[in-house]
Amino acid sequence: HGASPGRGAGPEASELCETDELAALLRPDTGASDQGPVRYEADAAQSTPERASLSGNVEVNRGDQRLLAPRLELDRKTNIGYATEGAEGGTPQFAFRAKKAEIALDQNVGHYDDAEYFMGRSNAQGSAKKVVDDRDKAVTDLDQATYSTCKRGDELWQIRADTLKLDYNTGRGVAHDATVAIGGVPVLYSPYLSFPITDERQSGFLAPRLSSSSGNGFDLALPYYWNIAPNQDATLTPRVITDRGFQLGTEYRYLGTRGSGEFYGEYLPNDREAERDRGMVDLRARGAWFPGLSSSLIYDWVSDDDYFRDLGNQLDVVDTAYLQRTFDTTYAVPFGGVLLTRFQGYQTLDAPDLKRVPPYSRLPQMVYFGGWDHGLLRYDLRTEVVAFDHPTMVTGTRFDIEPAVSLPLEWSYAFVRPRVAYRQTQYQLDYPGNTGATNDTSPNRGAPILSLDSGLIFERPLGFGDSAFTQTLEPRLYYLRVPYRRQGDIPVFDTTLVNTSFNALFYDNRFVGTDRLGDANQLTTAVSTRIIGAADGRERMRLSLGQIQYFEDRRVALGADQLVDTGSSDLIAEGQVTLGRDWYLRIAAQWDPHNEEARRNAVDLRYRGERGAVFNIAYRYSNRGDPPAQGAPADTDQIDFTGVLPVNPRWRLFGRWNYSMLDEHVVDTFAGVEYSDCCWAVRMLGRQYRDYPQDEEAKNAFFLEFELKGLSSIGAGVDQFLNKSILGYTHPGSTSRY
Amino acid sequence: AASARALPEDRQQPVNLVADRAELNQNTGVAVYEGNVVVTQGTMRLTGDKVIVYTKNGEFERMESFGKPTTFKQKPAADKEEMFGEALRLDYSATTGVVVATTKAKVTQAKDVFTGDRIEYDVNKDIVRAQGKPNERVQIILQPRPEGGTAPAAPAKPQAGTPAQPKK
Amino acid sequence: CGFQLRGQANLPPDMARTYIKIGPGAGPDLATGLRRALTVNGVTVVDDPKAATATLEVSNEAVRRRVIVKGPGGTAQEYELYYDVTAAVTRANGTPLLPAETFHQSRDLQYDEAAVLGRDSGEILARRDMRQDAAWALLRRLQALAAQR
Repeated sequence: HGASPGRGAGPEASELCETDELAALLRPDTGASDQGPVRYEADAAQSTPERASLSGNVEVNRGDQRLLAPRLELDRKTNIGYATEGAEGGTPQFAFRAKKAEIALDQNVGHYDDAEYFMGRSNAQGSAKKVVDDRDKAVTDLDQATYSTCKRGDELWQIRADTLKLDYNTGRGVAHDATVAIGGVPVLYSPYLSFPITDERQSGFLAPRLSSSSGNGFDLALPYYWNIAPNQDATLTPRVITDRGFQLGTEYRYLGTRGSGEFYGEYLPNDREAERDRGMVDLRARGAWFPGLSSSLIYDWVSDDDYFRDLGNQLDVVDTAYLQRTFDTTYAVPFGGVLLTRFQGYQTLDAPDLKRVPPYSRLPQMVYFGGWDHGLLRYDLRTEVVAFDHPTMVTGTRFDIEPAVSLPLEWSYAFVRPRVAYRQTQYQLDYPGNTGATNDTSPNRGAPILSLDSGLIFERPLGFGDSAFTQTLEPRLYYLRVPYRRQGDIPVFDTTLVNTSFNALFYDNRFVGTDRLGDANQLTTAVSTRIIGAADGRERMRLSLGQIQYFEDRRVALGADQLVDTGSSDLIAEGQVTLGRDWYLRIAAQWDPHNEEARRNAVDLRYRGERGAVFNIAYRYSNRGDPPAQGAPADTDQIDFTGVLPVNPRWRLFGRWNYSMLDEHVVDTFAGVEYSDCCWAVRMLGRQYRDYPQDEEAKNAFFLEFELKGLSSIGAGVDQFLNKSILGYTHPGSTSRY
Repeated sequence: AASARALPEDRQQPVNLVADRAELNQNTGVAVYEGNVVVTQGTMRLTGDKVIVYTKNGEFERMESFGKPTTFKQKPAADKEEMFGEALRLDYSATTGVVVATTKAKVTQAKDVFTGDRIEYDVNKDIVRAQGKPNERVQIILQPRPEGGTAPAAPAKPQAGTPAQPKK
Repeated sequence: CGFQLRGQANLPPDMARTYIKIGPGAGPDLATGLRRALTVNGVTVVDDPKAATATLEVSNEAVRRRVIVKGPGGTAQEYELYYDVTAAVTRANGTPLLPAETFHQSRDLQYDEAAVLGRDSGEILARRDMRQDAAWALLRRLQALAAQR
């Protein structure tokens, strides 16, 4: 369970910006309707059925709108008020001061000339030759307008546009014939410009990213956002890389009622370093055909193996060398259960000195799993048919079925769950080349799986200070019996060791996947204790301890049979505690009693402070033992400090120090600083990292990101990298959940 | 637009006065009525605690009315809605057809409501002039016109009046 | 040391007949887990919303990954899986019994980098365990609310 949801975000706009002079004109949003009577107030008034003229501090109130003017002439026939000697006013979103104003009461539209305006939610200000504020349509049109979130008169950046439409329904502003000036100097002209005008985190445009690194030289990216329709948008990112050439990135997003999708693509014609065209594609889509039947697609492609290392602008942590192509269709079967049909393949990327074996493709896989309750009994069925394909290794079709019946008895203080299942697996194999002769092309395996899970729940009240808690003590016993079946001649398609964890102590197979069914005659003994808030029922602390006693030696292994005669499993301990709202500690330990050494230790300490202060420590130690358990991940011994330190509302520091004791050097470290002003922010970050932890050479990279607040896209470049690297990092003005 | 004339019939209608006490001064032509005073003339109706009526050679000229508040009601023209007025003091001139309400004055004309320190209502020209004072500004509530301009008022029925008889 | 067998822990009486609504972004197997947990605690799960005294809506089930350890092959060897689900219980008359609340769970998964297919099946198991823990945490919350009555 992550740390308590993030509290206190980064600096709020209000702290950094002086309040605009027009801000006081904004009206409270009481939701009052504009359709009610219009209330006027003045020092003096004269009214006839045709005409009313008010003078002396005239005030007009209608719903949540208010207008102030020295004089107001009201034509009662057309119901239009004319304030010819200047006027100012406001609605909950929009405030203005103008030389002349006309309010068309019946159409609920205000026309203001030579106006200055201020918008509350996006903290934006500007001026305009002509403003038409249509309250009913919630749209404000401005001619010859300027727009900026900077302090009035001291705009670091400003949009000057022929026309500007502020649409509160979509929360977007659209400028036509717009020029963006930075420091007063026009930087960019664009016939069309769209940006968010509410405070929600919407992508805007123009967050230039400048970076430099060995291998790429200077790298300037200039994203450009195009809001095609309320449910579609696109971001074009031209990018100049001095050592390589010009690259274009495009992102297109579609959100429909029955489906949605995101396409991201990059294309770099003739990369000078690699002397070839390069590109990548990341396509995600999902849709519901009709209730109960939905599909999802993931398709990744990259032109060459080093693409991510060279062009992943060093910011994306490469978290896979296997690019997935998966098309899933899930069907909720009327009589219960779910049928999943999957077509899946991978593009395998080799590392410079590591030729990777491509994984099997599933062309297709069909899995049905269902569960029915009948009185106290529960019936479960899982059946699967899958065709595995591979360029070089053995291929074949596997059929697997596992019906099960269980009697889950549960009371508030105890539970008993006996379960009986039978698993039958059948293969139809096709060995490439001449090895077919010696191998069994249609092995099969069938075995019963018997398990009895039981546990008691004890409780006692507990008091810490003035708050009351309940502490539980939960002993648990789990017996598993699976007779041995020879499986050495069955190829491993999708199977590996289960992830050792406290939960895994109660799994009915020590392998994950179908190609191995672990023989078992064992008893898991475990105990957990939790501390739960008596009033809110929220868990504050949990500590679990467990171990398996083996009554028979195990023989089934990932490869050929391998006799393991240890009498008990590693001792597994897991614990987590949430201290107040700020601190969260989690530990996991796995102790090998036979060799008397730790197999795995993991410690996570997380602190969430005020104003987005974040501090995390993650320590990981794992030791596969000698000989290393087959299929277990490589040994690790590393510690990872990450943090965000808000020095004051304007300055924030970021840092990471990820040191591998095994390799005795830093795997990834960066330090960054962010200065954020009222309407702009700049982030600088220096990074030293290794693509492979064991590399001797480290790579350096430097990033500079310049953000125009309220205009530029959020979550680009450095901000996205920090979000991925520092758990709990929040962009200024938003809150994180972790 | 032609200024709407008060209903001609009002000017010729007899003035009817009811009060608890009355004090008549023949030669000055000033009569003072006190206590639940009700003055009616055609569609005009005025109430007040104390009303001073000024007549000139037997012709009703003007009156001053005081009350908490003193109220005034009249139908300015056949096609106009009734107009209501109230204040602590009302001055009504029959000759000019102008009503002046002073202190905590409130005038309602065709569902529009005017409040202020001093409000003048010219019945003939159908003009309302309002004047505020520093901490008591003129307040006006104008009903949003239903689609298609001002609503036609219902045709007025002439009222049968009874001759004014000062009661001792 | 004061421990005794846990006493009767019932759910809020308003949930006597509960309809489980799968909101946007929530999978069917979460609903089956909740159905079992509610039935065991004496609540009848009804299929017709109109016959229900309360509606339990689960939505926005999300799973996210974060790399923790990079293996010698340059790719993730250990990553953290985050599971979120939002649950809310509203009475038949529309008043909230449990305002919408997000339940978090997380698991560390360690895999040999090459075990791509194995990793996916391992994730399915981890996801199932996290769903059960989230359902358990929701029940404890509801039982605490009932106890406060």
